[in-house]
Amino acid sequence: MARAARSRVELLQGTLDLLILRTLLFGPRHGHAIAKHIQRTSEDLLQVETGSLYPALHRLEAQGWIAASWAQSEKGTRARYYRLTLRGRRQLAAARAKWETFSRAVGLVLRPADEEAP
Amino acid sequence: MTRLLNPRRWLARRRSREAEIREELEFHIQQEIEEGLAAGLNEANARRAARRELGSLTVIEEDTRAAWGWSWLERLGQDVRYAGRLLRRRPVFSLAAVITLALGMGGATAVFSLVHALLLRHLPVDRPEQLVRLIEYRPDRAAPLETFTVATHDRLRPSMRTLSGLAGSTDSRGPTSIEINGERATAVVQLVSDNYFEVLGVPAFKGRVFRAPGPGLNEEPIAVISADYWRSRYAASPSALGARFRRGGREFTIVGVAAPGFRGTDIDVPADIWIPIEQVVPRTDEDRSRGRWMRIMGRLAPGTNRKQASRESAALVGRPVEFASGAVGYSTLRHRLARPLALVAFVVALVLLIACANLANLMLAGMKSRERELAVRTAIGASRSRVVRQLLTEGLVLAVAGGALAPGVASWISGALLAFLPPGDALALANLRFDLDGRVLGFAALLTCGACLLFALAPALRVTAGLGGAPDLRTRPGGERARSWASRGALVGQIVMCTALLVIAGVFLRTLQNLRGQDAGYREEGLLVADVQPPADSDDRRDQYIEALLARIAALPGVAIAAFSHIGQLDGAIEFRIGFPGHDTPKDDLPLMIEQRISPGFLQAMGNPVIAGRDFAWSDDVHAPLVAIVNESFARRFFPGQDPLGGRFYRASGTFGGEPMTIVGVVRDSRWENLRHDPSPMYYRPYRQMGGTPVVRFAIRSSGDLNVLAGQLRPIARSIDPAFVLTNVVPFREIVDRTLVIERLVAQVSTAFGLLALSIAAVGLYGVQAYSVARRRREIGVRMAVGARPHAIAWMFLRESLVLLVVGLALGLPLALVITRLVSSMLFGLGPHDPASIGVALGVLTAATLAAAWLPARRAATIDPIGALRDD
Repeated sequence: MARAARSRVELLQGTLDLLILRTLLFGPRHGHAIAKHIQRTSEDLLQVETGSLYPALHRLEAQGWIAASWAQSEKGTRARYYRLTLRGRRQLAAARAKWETFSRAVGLVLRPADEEAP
Repeated sequence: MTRLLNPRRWLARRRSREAEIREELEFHIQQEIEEGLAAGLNEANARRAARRELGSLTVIEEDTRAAWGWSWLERLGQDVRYAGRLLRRRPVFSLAAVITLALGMGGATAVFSLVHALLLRHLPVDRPEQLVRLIEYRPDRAAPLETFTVATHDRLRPSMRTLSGLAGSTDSRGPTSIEINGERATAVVQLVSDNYFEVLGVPAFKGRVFRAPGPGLNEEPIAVISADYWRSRYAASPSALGARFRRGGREFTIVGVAAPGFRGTDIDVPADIWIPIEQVVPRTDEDRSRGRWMRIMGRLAPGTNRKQASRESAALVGRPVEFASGAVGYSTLRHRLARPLALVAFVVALVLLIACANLANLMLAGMKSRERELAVRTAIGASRSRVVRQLLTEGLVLAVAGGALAPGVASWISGALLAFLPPGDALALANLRFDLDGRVLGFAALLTCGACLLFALAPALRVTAGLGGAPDLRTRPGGERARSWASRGALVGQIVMCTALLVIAGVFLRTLQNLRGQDAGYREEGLLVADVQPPADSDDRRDQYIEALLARIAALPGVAIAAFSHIGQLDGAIEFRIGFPGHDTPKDDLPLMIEQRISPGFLQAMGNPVIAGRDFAWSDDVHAPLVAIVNESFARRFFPGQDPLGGRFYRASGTFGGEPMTIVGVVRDSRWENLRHDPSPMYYRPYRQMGGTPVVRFAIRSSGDLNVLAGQLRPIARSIDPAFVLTNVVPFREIVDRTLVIERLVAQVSTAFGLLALSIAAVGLYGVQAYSVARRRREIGVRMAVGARPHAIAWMFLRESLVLLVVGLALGLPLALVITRLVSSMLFGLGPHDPASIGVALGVLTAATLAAAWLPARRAATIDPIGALRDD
């Protein structure tokens, strides 16, 4: 696989759930497609490990934030498609707000140091 | 949680979920491969890349399943299957482990069920914890009195403010005879106050129970029966209500059946029939203030406690009476059996501990050989907790297998223990029999878990603590590692506990031997006894009936002497105050002496002939002068230094009270009350001059087979009169046995369990040593190759065991001595530090240990060094 040699960013604990929920906002997807989508939209900075993806998907399903059903994939084989539930949507909104607050706060703390560096 | 409640659906769902996850991951791989192909890789490389990308599929599968939160159960299932496979591979070990655990836990469960029935189980009544029972401590008695006059009940009942109710019941003295439709039957009849059922909160199951105010003397007599009696006597027929029976010349009508399970408040004597006391002893009867034969139970009023009730009752009665908890009812067995039961519980606990220690040791030895396997598992990513869990599961499988057998074993052991109960206490069996109720089952389950933790957790932690992964893989299995301290500790522990058990067994066996071997003033071999009750309607001709039967029995072949006494030897005694003519001692200061009424020949039949003067003759009857035979103690006490023959004394009260008797004979002392008390001064009187109880005890000395003789007695009695009742037709030896119930119980239980523990420990030591020899084969080979002698090799192994033995004895002996001192009042004829029994116990223990250690040591000595080194 031709993969860019750029350094990857480790996923922060808990952010994978947020990314999955966000990805599903565009419509039902199977696990592989979710991983690829996150990878692509993050310009390959975020690499989703399969070993974390599926446990996360099943955890979210167990919590009722996403629902799964089997459907034909574009290739004609059976795939497990996940879609966002109403509760998932609400959870996404809440988690997103929390994330934005968090990232703004971290940004505020970090910015002065950045400015002093040069 | 509901998922867990339906195992089949849960299992089906789990299977489908597993398949789904697998399919989902399969799809993922497929996608990756296609991506690889699209990027220009060939199929094989694409597949490999995809797999690499994914990592361990099983781990992902497991983690994904874990998201659903039920995989612990599934993992447990896996562990159990794995443990089962491992245990099947070692069938002898597993079987031995399960059997020893089942015996240990079964014994503990059996003892617990007895303790539960006697001490813990609440009466099946309404809110039993509110019940209190009146007791009175007397300075001259160790145990408090539990019986009072009816007058005390009459005094307390209307006045007690701290109690919401107070009821009385007669103390149960075993079954009495009643008449149902002209047919004689026996039943335990209790006279109770009319509010008895109300105070206890026991409803009627059929019909009604009586309530206060109950019927008086002039009303139609009524009775309530227990549900058990209703079932056994009336086959649970509705017609029992309204049925009648006769008791003491009155006809009672059954008006109700009490709630099932309720058999009165006495654990020892479950009641069959309850009668309102006023119908038998009216309110004005003088018997109400004579004799303490009523038990008084109360129910605390809301907001009051026992202390307040005790104070109030003491003030009302004017004596220091008080209330004790009544929740568990009355039981004399409780007092009699408390200490032996505690001892048996202790013995059983030791055996269980030994079984656990032994198992821990064997598991430890087994795990040593699995170090490599465990190291591999750790290396491929199993966490320590995962390995510990696996090892614990193995223990759990063994414990559960043993625990599952425990109730069966317990029922058997309980039966064996209860078989010791003398026939006089047999009624209590209904309440004491092994009953697998919730509490007993819970105890067994708790025991299983505890035992499992005890023998599996320690080895698991020990073994896994040393698992560093790689280094363990490098060393060969069976590296020269000294046996761990844990293993030695377990062996020493077993020896310590065995020492305690065997010393207990030793002192009780000696006690039994001393009690049996002493000169008790009778010869028990060749002696048959029988309780003989002449026909009830023969009151004026009772003695003729008895003597007719005696003559027929004396004529039987092989019978040397047939005689009788009014109370049997070792069956108790009646005391009377006696006085001497010419001395004016106040009546209350006269000494109490045991009196026995006997037939001519009785003393000779018992093997205690007169040593001076003469025996009674049939001519010593009411028409002849009153005569007596005294024992040596009597003679020594009242006629010191004189010839007692011809001496005169009188009984202060009763028939012929005050009429002097002349001493015509002297016999040696013999034990009448029990085997522990020294013989007291006593005198004998001719039965013909005194008469006696409705039952006499025959004593028949015969040179023939006692069992054959026993079989002949009843037909003979029946041929004289079919209404003759013969009970307790047994060799006198058995009467002696019955008085030694507790000693025999403790001696036999501690011997049986002591030997069991010893064999467990010996087999355990043998196993550990044999295993050690096998592991150190190479070392032995090297030692021999460089010139060590076989006996030096044998000594090397033997020495290890000897050190363990010496340390075990050094710790065990003081423990054993502490225990024997605690039970010293149960011993007889020996001190708590009896050298003989302790010596025998230590000898047996040393011999068994040496034997167990010698066999592996000898095998070590015969190892062929060349072979041992070449094999490696």
